[in-house]
Amino acid sequence: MNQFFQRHHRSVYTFALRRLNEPADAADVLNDVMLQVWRGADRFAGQSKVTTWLLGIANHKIMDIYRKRKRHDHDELDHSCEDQHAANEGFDISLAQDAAMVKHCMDKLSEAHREVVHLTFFEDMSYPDIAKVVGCPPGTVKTRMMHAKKNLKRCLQAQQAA
Amino acid sequence: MMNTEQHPQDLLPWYINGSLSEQEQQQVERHLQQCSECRDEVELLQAMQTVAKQPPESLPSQFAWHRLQRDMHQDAQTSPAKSRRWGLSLAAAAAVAVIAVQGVLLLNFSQQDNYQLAGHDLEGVVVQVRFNPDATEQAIRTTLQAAGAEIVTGPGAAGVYRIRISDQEAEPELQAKIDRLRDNRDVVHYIQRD
Repeated sequence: MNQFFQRHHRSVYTFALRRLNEPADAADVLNDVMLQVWRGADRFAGQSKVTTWLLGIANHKIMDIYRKRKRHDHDELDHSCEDQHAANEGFDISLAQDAAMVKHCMDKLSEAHREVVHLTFFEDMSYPDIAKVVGCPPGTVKTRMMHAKKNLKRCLQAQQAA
Repeated sequence: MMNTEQHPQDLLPWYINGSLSEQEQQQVERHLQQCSECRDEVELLQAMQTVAKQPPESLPSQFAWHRLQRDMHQDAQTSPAKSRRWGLSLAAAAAVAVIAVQGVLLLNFSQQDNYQLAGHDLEGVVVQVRFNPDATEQAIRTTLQAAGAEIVTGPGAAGVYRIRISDQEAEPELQAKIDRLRDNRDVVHYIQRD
């Protein structure tokens, strides 16, 4: 178990931390996920990568915490897997060169958008794997990413204007 | 220029992280050669990737593993047959992947029996300890074993454990053990009697 824990604990913890922004809650999620794995409550069926399976379990725990916090209201639409079309607006790409501003705006993304961004760029997951983790169709994953990008652009433009 | 519907912008994030199928990858590459708008999108996504790849603000502490060990130990005590049932279910599992992953888990947990976590009926003096965040699990275990100590509870919210040291010795020897633990700054950050 130690070997398994050492191999995967950072992925689970970082996934939870980036979404919950609270180390104590992320530590709880990590512990609950690993305990659930040890108990055999969720069995690895070999139909996905181990990381995909673990982050899928973590996703349920994180959503439980969100429900407890009652902070999910503004993300409700995204978590319902509803599909939407993102507009493609004109954008000055030079704004993307300011890493601090990009980070500031990424931190302001909704929880559901940060989730997809994290799984794409930190875990380097494919969109079908992300769909398994978040429990939505692959099309919804793509749409969330489009929205994340659109909101990021808006934020960068607003920052520049300010 | 192609119209908006033909831009494969929905694939670009996964073009960046290299997880597209070969067919999708080629489709995007062909498009990028002739579309400056999508090349700008790639630049923005690469900026997002750079930020997302930054190390997390904090890492799980050494206590995370101890906490899990404690909970597994308590779990096994609550339901002693759990591990055996789990083992039997492995034997019945047909999927090789199931056996591979859970076999590793079961084997490793069974090897942890030299590490005592929950309190027994041992008499002793209880002290509060906070371990150095950089201390490894092995260093903590070695330190506790050398002191004849075992973890009773913890970690609490502030990372504090309560450990019990056997009081088979006289008070001066007992205090000397606590002092040695306190002096072991690589492992022990803080210690005081309960």
